[in-house]
Amino acid sequence: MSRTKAFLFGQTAEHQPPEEYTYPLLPPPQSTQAASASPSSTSACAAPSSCGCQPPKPTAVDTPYKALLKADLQEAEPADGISRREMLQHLLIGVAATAAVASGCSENLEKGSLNWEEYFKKNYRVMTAQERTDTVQRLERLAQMRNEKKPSIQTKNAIPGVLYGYAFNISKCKGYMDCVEACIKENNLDRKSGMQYIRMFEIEKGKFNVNLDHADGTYHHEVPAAGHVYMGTQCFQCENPPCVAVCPVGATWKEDDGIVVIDYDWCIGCRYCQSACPYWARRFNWHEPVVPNTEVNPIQHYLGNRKRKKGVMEKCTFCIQRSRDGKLPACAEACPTGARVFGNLLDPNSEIRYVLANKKVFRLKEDLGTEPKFWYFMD
Amino acid sequence: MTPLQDRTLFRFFRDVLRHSVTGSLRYHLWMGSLTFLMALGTYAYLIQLNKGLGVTGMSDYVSWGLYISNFTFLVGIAAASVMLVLPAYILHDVDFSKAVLIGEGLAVTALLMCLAFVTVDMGGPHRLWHMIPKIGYFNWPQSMLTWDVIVLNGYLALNLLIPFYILFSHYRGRSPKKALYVPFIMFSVFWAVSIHLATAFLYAGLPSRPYWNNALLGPRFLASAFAGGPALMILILHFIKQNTDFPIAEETIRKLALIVTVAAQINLVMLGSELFKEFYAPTHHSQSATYLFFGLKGHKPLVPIIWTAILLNVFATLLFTFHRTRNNKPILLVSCTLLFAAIYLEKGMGLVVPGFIPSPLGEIVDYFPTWIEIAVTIGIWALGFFVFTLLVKAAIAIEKEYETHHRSEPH
Amino acid sequence: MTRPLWLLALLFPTLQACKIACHLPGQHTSVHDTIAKKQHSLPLSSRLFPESTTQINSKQTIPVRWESPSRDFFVHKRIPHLKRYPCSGCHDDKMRYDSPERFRATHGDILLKHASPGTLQCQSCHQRKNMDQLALPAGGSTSFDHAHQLCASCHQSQARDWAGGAHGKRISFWYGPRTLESCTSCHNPHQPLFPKKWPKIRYRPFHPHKARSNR
Repeated sequence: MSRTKAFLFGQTAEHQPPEEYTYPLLPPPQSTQAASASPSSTSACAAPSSCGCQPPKPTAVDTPYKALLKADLQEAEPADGISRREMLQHLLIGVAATAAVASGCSENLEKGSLNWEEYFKKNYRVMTAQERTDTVQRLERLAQMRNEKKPSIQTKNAIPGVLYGYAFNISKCKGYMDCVEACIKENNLDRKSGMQYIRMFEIEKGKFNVNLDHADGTYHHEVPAAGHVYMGTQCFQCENPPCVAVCPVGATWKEDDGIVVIDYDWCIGCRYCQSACPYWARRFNWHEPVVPNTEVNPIQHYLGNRKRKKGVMEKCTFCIQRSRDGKLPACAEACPTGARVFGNLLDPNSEIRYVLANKKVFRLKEDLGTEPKFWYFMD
Repeated sequence: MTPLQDRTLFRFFRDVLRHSVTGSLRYHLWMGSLTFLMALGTYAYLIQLNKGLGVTGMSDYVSWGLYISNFTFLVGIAAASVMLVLPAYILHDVDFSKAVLIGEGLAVTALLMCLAFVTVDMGGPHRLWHMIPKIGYFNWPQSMLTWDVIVLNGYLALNLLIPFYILFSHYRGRSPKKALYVPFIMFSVFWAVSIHLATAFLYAGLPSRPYWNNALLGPRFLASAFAGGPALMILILHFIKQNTDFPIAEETIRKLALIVTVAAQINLVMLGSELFKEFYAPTHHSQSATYLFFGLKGHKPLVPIIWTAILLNVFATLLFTFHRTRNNKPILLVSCTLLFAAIYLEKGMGLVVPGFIPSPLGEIVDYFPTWIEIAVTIGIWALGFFVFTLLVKAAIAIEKEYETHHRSEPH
Repeated sequence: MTRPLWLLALLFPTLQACKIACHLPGQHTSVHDTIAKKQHSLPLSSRLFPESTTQINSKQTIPVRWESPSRDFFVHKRIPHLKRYPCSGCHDDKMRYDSPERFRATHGDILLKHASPGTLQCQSCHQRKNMDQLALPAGGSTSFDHAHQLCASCHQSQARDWAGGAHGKRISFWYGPRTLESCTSCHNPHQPLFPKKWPKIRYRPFHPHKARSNR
């Protein structure tokens, strides 16, 4: 009973959030800044509370790839105007335009020119803010020309001070697969091949092992079946992702908030990452993906649920288009049993941190040193 | 042919081209049928390009199949040409020098086929420019695939450059300067080992696939390559010797057979070691090997293939081991064929496909190539035979002419 | 004697290799180290996602304090979702149980399957005198909006996990003031176990051509 006394009840009528909920103000994230120039950290702690808060430093170069990225950024914007790559690009666009003029249709001309520019665009990682805006405009225009539902493609960067983590409660999951359905809809997954990022496994009690030797991933009957537990897998957004290291063209990488993303337009489709993933989290587009126009989710992210094409890899991104907006991933929101916990690992008050601190957690194949940010726990 | 004093680089290529379109009826029939097969492969590939890789037997479960199997095998063939280069140039075993040109032609051909197989396996071959350093994003040194790209292309360049220099010199009636090409040959010897090791590391560097993630993979790749490659060379040299008057000493073939013998024996020892590790105390990590050798949960499509390969391998190695059978020409040819087939089966389908089964989440999905994959594969093999025939035909013609004019001059 | 000198040529590639090795994957960082390094003690700005604060902390929630102010959170109100509330509309301040027939006619949809049979009855949770309130086992009453207080009377470990974050669900946003579903939004208080039903979707693996799967 002492526990329940700890509850304090406010007025049941109207309630305005009390003053202590207004958190110290950080400047909003520089949404499309590629270089993510450090927000003026002096003003960051201007909030009245006597906080000792250290605003995160987004410019810290701590991994070799960031050093590479920095070098590439500098290279991408030479002081004396136009780079060789751009010259080549303009030349080719010119050629394309000429070809299109010859065919004599302005729509075709525009389409051809847009497609050429798309073909010669850079890896998303090394694009400048302007280039990102340009490619988004081209993609949106091209979708319009194909008579598709007009997407709104974001390029929001990682929020400083956020590292996403996920926990899955094996004793709560009942195998309803609401998460799978929500994921398909949210992420515009290919309906033709029935692609699913989340795999749900039914495991007989007593036969549970982390190798999933006795797991049934194709069950279809009333659930929960007596004597069985259910366990879902998806991309675990490893801290040491083996898929990222093997990509020959750097088309996949780990963002600052820990999400492993793919630049669909940069992927060459060699599927080496698919071999390297110990969790079977990556999917390949074996043919042109199909999403009915009426079912397209138009709220998209460049690195998330935007339209893919045949011959490229894709994967779960913790719904980057949602999570960077402060929303829960679609799977966590759809789960009817509360088996899915999602939050910021860097916030000691977050749910995910409560789970790590208070539950007996484990991760799949920890012996591989991949350090997944996806934990399993039981009540 | 052009008079000796007028021979320039341009005329070299023109003469080679002219020479390659002239030949006997048998030659034209041979090239014609290869062209037909290449056309068939192209047709199949166009379907694949149009519809996506879904027309192959590959899936998210087994995401590499026949193409990458052939790629892996052919890297071995390319690397094995070193077995001819090494004694010929470094050990001053002049006897080999004629065969070396053929070996390097084989390496070039195998590498072209490798590149072709990798390209047809790509989901977006038109985006391959993303791999060009500086213009694209070359993820070196993290990705083993980028290492493989470097070593394969470097080896291709070396193997084009060295024979080209020798042949062009001979074409102009000159003796090639040893100081110019021998360093490159030494370099290519190291390089040859690296191409096959890099390819092995491509697989061995994946802890997610325990079947590949073993330290013996690289050495075993080398051993099987140095058995299969020279075995193929013996067959080719024998064919050339039978059908042309290109001088190939019997000693060359005998020494090659010796190399094959040693490599095949080492390969068998390593196979035994691998089998012991997988099956003496099988763990969860032995599941792929179990799938390959005995089948897993009723899935056993590779079982007949691997046992055929192993029986052929053991039988051929035995034939090589005994002097009497090795020195008997017809038996030698048979054992070379058997060994080549055995290594093709074992290293192709036997290495790549079981690595994916069961999937990391324990699911078992078999892989069967579709007719499109098979047609494309046949097309690329036809391309290989085509290119090899052209290269060898030109090389033989130039060498023969040089020999007749400069018989007195030592090589 | 001069022969092995060419081996010196290997020195350069070896040094290069060492340099490259530093960039190769292999130096594994633990995610816990990352957390320890980057962790910050205060939540992010609520201005980051204005909609999360405006949409959720509307009139639909009530605040709850658990142990310390830093763990304060909000819970969805239940009363707006109750179909036949207020109960006093029929029950004129008293609970009456006349006959099974009458019960079936009015609350026939309720089948009590909570705890072992016979443990609980209507008045275990519903206030006898004032039907618009819930009865707490320790005495006293609380509103339907505070059903979690009643649930927590018995299910203490679940309540602890719910307040902490390992049980229950946040609504829509991982970010901002925590707003949770109330116990009874997910659990039917009369039959708190989740029901059996068909999965929403079936796993249909893509098998090109004749590839077979069977488990």
